[in-house]
Amino acid sequence: MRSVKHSRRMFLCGTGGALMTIPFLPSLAPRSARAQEASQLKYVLMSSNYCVDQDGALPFPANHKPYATVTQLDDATSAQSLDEIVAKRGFFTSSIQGQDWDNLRPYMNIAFGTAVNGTNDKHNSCAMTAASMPHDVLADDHPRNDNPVFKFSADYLAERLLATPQHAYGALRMNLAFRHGADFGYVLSEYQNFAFGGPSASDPRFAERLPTMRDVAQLEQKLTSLGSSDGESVLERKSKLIDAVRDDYRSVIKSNAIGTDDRQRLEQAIELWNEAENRLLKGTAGSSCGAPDLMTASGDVRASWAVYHDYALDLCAYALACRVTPVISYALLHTSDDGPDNGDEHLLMHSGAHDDRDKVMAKAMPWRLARVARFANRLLELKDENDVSLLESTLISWGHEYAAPGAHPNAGHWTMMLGRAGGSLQTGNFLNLSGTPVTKNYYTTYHECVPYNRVLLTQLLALGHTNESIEAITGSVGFGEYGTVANNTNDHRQGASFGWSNAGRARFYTDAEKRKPLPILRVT
Amino acid sequence: MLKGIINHRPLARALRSKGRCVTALVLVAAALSACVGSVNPDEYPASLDGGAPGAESPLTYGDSGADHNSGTDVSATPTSASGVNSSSPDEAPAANSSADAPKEPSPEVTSCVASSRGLSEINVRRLTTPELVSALRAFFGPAMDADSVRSSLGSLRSESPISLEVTFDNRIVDVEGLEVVARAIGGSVVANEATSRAVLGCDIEEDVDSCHQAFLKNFLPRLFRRPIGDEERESYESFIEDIGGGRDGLEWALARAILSPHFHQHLELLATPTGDGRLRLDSSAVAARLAFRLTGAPPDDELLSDPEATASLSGLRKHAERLIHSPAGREQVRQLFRTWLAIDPPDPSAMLAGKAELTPDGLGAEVAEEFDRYVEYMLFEKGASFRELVDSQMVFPFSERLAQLYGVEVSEEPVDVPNGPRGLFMRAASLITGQAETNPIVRGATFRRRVLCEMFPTPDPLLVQAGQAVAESLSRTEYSQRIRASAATAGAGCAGCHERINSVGFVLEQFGPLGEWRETQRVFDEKGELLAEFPIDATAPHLGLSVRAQVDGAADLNQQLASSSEVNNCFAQWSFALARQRFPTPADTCAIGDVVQANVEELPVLDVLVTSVVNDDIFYRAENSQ
Repeated sequence: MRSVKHSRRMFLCGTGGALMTIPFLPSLAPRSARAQEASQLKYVLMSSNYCVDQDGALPFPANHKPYATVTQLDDATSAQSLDEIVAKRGFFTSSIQGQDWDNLRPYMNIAFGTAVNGTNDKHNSCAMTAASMPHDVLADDHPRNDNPVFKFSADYLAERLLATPQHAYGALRMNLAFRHGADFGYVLSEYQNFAFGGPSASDPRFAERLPTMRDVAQLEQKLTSLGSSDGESVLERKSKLIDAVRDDYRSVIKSNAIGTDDRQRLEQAIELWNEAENRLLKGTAGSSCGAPDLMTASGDVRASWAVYHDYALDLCAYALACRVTPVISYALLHTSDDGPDNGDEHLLMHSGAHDDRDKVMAKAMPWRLARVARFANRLLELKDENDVSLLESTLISWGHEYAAPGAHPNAGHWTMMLGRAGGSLQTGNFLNLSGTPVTKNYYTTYHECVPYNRVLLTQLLALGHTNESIEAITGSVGFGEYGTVANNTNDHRQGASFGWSNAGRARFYTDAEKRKPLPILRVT
Repeated sequence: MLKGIINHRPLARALRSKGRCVTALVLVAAALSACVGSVNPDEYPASLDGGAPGAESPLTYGDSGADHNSGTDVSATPTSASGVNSSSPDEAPAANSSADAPKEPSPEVTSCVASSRGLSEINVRRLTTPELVSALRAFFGPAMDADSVRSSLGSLRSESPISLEVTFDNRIVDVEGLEVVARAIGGSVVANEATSRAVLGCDIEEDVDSCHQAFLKNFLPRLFRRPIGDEERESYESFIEDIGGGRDGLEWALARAILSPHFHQHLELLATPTGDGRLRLDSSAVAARLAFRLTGAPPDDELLSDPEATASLSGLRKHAERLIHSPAGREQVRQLFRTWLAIDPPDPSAMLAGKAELTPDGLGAEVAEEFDRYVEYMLFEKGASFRELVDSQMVFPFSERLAQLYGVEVSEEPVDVPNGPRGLFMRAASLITGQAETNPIVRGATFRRRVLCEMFPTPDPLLVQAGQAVAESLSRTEYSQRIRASAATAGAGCAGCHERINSVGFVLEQFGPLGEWRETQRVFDEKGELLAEFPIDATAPHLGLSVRAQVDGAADLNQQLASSSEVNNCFAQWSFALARQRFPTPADTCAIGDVVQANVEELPVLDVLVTSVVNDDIFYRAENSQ
């Protein structure tokens, strides 16, 4: 839609909330009627780059001593109750404490100890796992370059499942590289060739990547443009479109040249359009959609990256509540307002002194997690079409790129999941997926890390995918690349904070194991 | 032969239910019998399990006689099954009363009853997803390159090609996926001057009204592949107004047009009764059939602008020969062979590849490309007949590892392999496996299902379990795969099918798990240590085909297949099916007979493929019962 008559300034100065209501039909079905149907599921994939302060993120020091009762959920997964950890320890970690996190704990799962293959061409080999993996990890003429790699991104799979014509956008993807028109250096220059870059017009190898917004203005534009020049909503037009298409079907059905079977088939298609219209009229928006006071940032107050991100995430929350999109993919790459940019951060991770790295990450992680917590609390406050918290029907996944400071270690990741995905996930768990430690020659190694793919697979299954539907899209078993097991590949035993090894991971590479979710998935 | 046809269950069912077809089918059967001889049905059971209740065999249009290798009896017959080279004015369809109706085709059928032609054609078939995407690309060109459109295409339903096991699902099951695409395309077309000019021939920035007119007058008829009536045009004008006119109106009207069944269904509404239960299609429908069947895409301007194109088979044939050489036509041909033979090779076992000093990654894709190159070269460069295509030693060793696999030097040009046949059926693309050992049972069953269109009943799981236990009791270091497979399938309930399956599988043992030629079967452990070695016995008493002859190795197998009427029939069915999204029924006997006959005459395969589309069936369909 290009017919934007409302200026962005107008939108930002306070009418935004009113405009946000425009896209949706004013005469929606009564709420009591809407409540009969399950809330539409939503997925938010938030990714941060580089390592996190692992020791500060987990409820135990390096010796992994559990704080709470350990329950073995399956042969690869043990669980501790988040509530019990907090009750015994007083807090979870220094970065995850306070009222915001207390609110979220019933909706939270933390999965620790996954391992990632960063050596192949499919996107979830990278823990970033969003938008589009570059093709430049492969030779130009590699046959697999024919395969759009975004098909191995969790957000793409979620979009394929959750997006409907009711949504103005199948997914909204953001990597905030610009503020006040300025390029934040490395975020753009590296990540246009990495995840979140969006398609490249100049390099055909990257043409398959999915469109990604790089500043908030683009998101504002997408949201404000939902209204048309005369105030008619997109959905009102969709209603007219459905009417017209049904007329086209009827004109064929009326033809004498159509036989009974074909007539029935076309009438069934009209039924599908009727159902589409019913959904359009019934459950267009959540009850929180359009609340103007959610616009906490406006005009030029977006002076810091923190405010800038918070504002962008407010808009994302709106987009979910108003059913503008069912999927958000969000890059949270900045470290803080006065932290190093990503270029310096990269160098620091590789070659900086331990103390310097720890200082940076000790600051970056709480800064990033504060953005996540604020956004998740927004969803907790907002109500969906059934008048329940958006966090009940949403699944937020926040993950990061490398496990610990050092030479890009790829084992020992942790992932935070927030939201109940419509009740398909058990929540409130700290999940340990790192396997049994092996001590040899006075050196303790964790070598049975569950592949990170299992976390993503669990998320997709929780959203309603099946193994079959995932594999029909990706063409491979499980979800993404599992790589090969070799002690020389991704064996960061020497460089990581803890000892990690791939030696015991082969058992996860059978088809049955690749298709297996985490045991927190409720079987319906 | 006639007894064979009547014994055939689908045909017999049709004969019972369609009394009006009986005469035609009897004549067809007689004609085909005259063409290609007869076979004793007792020697050639209609189904693999010997006619067990419920089991069905594929259709067989014509069988081999004793002299089937020469084909001379066929070419000598005065009642040729070909619908191309002869004519019979007596078989002319009823006069077309429509003022804008195309000229009558020249009816040229002599070997089958003309009034049966086209009776099985589907009246309203939806476009397959590949057809839909091809059509959208043809009509919307650069507007399809927009990011929003590219990502929206993932919303379309994905579907597998039809096969003997999977029939085409003609239902419309997802209207909203197409809506996502339609709206993205509508937005892309009106996004700027460049796309509006490329698609509609107007400048959306400067003159929206002219774009409206271009859409209504020129674009909509192309999209719907037929003329547009006043009422329909007015409906779209009103819709544009209702949306608010301007760009928005056009954008949404474009979306509506894409969502209209007039676009995404093969509608053949403009047709004239011929008086014999059939309808004669108008020229636009005939052109659409020709183009979609040969290229998977809508008719191009050259076809649409030629008034003679759809008036006769010769007019159609001229365009068919052009279209099949177009990029889309070539791709359609490649797809035909890939789909028929289920070409989707995996990368090989890393251990085996290592033993052969080959890099396994991407080898599957490479041998698939080699298969494509072969088909393309033989058909488009050499003009090969089907027999030549099947029976050739030519390979394309364009990489080091392909050269190594085939035992030849690297070359961009085709070369002959020193060992064994390769042809169409024995290329690495068909034979490579991701496993460390070959499985003659799986190979044999797959091969027969694909190459011979044979269907097998699902085996009793208990028998399978027992067979596996037998195989596992025989050490792989002491017994060859052939012996183990023989033992596993020797049970009384297995032999019926496995006599056929194993015969092919054992001969194909001459090719290793990489698809390489071999004289011995080598057995390795997981680390690649050689444990045992067995000489290959690639003989079989016979293939269970209509001509029973001992098979002495893969080369002999290939030659028997090259002259087999069963293979010819199977290819005819597939070339028919992939163009129409359905396998033939008894009412398609004439069309299939045309293809079979063209192959027997060893016409170039491209001519055969053109014939499978350009025959009198293309002008007709059955009247619908109202």
